[in-house]
Amino acid sequence: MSLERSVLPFQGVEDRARATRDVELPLLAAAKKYYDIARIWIRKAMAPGGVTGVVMAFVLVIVTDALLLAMRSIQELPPVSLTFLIPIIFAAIRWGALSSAVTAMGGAVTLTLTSFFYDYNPFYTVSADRSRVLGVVFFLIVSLVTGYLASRTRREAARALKGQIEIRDLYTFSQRLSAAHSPAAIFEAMQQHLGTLVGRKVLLFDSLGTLEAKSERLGDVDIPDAVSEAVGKMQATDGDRSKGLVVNERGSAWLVRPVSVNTADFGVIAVDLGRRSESLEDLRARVVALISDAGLSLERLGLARTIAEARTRAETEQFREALIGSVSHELRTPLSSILGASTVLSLAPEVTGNARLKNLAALIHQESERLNVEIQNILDASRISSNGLQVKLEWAEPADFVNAALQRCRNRLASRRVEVTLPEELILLRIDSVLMERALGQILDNAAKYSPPESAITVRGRQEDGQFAISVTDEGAGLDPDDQALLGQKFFRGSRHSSVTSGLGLGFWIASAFIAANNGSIEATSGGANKGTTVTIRLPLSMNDKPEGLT
Amino acid sequence: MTETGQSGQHVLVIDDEAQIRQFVRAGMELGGYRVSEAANGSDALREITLHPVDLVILDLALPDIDGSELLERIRAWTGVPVIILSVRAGETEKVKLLELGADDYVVKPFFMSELLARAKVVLRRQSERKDGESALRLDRLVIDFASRSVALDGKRLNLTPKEYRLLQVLAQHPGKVITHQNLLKSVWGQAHVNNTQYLRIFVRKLRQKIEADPNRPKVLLTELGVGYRLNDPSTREAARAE
Repeated sequence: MSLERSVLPFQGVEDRARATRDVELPLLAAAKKYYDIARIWIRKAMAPGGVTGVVMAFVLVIVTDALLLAMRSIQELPPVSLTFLIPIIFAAIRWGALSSAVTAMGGAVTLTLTSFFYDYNPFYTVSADRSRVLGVVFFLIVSLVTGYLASRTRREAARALKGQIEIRDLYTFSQRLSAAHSPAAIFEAMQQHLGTLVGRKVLLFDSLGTLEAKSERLGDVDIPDAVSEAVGKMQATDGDRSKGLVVNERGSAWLVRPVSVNTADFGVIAVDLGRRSESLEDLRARVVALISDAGLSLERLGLARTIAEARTRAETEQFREALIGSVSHELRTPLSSILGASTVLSLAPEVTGNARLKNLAALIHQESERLNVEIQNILDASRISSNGLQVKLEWAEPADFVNAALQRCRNRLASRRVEVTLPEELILLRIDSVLMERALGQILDNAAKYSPPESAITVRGRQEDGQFAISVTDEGAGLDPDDQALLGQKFFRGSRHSSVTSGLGLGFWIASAFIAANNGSIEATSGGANKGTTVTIRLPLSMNDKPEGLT
Repeated sequence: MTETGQSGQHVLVIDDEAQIRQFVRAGMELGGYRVSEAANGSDALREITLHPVDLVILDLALPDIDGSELLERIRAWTGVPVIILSVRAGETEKVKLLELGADDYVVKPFFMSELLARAKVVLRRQSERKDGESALRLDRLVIDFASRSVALDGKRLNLTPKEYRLLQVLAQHPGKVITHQNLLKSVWGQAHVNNTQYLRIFVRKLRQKIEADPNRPKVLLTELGVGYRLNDPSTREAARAE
């Protein structure tokens, strides 16, 4: 029993497990056990030097003998047992207990042999045989103790070195974590570090459970079914996932844990911890700690990115506001003076009395008005692009914005025959009348722009399929099928008109955006080139959402 | 140039831009007004207190004081008509200014004819108020405040109390834009200031009675997103179409 206990520390867990398994055959089991113990003993003893150690032991004995012979030729000296202590200790340190034991035996043999040739021996005169035996025993003890101590020291040194490497790796890892500026970099650092630490497979699954990355040295990897199952479980559970899950598969323990406990977005990591059953719990704790570190870094990164994005957005917004502000002020202030002054000129008796001057004043007036419209369009477009459109939906009559748009475009429409038909009954729509007026104004403006003078422009409002539809029909240039497809785009202008008619091509795009903001739709149809265009705006006419007090 | 203002009426133009002051002065003088200028708020206040002023044309952007604050200070002690000039064209801004007591607003850039027309309407309204007329005549429409009756082409109209009240509130300040909130408060009470749909329905009913074509109103006009105003088709519309 005492023997068994003494050897147990050297015994691997799997051997112990095997021993318990075979307990029903006690005799065989005992034999097997002792065979195992012996095997391990031999393995342990051989461990550092192995066969080399034994061979080197013989070499050492021969060398020592040779040295003793050489020394004897210089001066007559008896072989002293202590001489062998040096090679014994050397062998113990260098190749372990077995090697030193062999050296000790070699030394004992040498000394026993030489004692026959030497008559004079100051140390071993009396009962030489007994002292020889004692010497052998003494050498054996020394060799075993030294070998054990040496191997222990060697183990400690190796462990210290390993710890140092781990600390260095950890340091590199944390440096990479703190310098990482993308999730990919963090994943890479994590994989590399875990790979070095565990020395086996590291797999990363994205939030959908598909394999996203794997440790580099791995070729094609087949994921054990139990691991896939655990990955799925980790994504599904809402409970405490911080410790992860350990599954055993094909003699290998896998740790499966979400990268971050707080969110499933960063995916799940699976680490093959290998067969190291004795330090499994320790390894698991270390790997979990590493994963949490990486998870925290990822979360910090997400937060940092959100903050950075918010800041960029705020800066862009500020810049946009400043730009709009300065465009509105810096361009409009002089324009106000030009437009105002030109209208004063048009009123002056000296000018009104002179047809040529009157036309010139009217020209300044018209062109500055056009410039003003384009500035307004640019401001509107910039507001739309940056989602800065403020929409105030209210119950309103469509007739009101239709009239306002016609009033605004009265100068452009002056030479066209404008016909307006609106329903007799009161219709209320939930719209932003100001935006609708601007949208319709753009469409009327286009209708005037692309149709000849004295042609008809028809505006027709009616209820249709639960919607309120307003169509503007002109007898103008019409649309090519190509143009029709491109019409909704910013800065698009019908190819045949771009050289003839002025404008930036923003009008239809702005109108579309304004109408969309009113939950409506816009559509342009044409029979073809020179067959006129019909633009139809449709706005929701919600029957379920009738304003109260209508009845 | 159809009509001129009453000769010698004094207009104060408050604007920090010399160019704007220059052409507004020229235009107003062409319209027969006497013009003085102020480049900032404190000069404007001094001018108003020292000389009798018939009309103030006020730009909101001033170097020393916010235009709306100056408007409040002016309104604190005088009912002189004020027309606001502004590059800020937002409807909320307009509503705020009207609530503060502005008589009208013109968004820059503007036509001189437009400003002259508005000046005329505002000044006429002011003089009529002084006369204390008991009836308002708008082209074919006559509103008699004393008998609470409305006639179109001499024929008495049958209005409901709410319809009359709505018309009366608008007729108290002909030509001036009355905000939605103001109308709702006066006709339906404080609790209904956000029920714009009431206003839409009654305006429609009123238009069906007083307008030739309710879809193309000439008298009861809509100011989109701001409110309504009564228009004298003989004056304002003519000036606008110029």
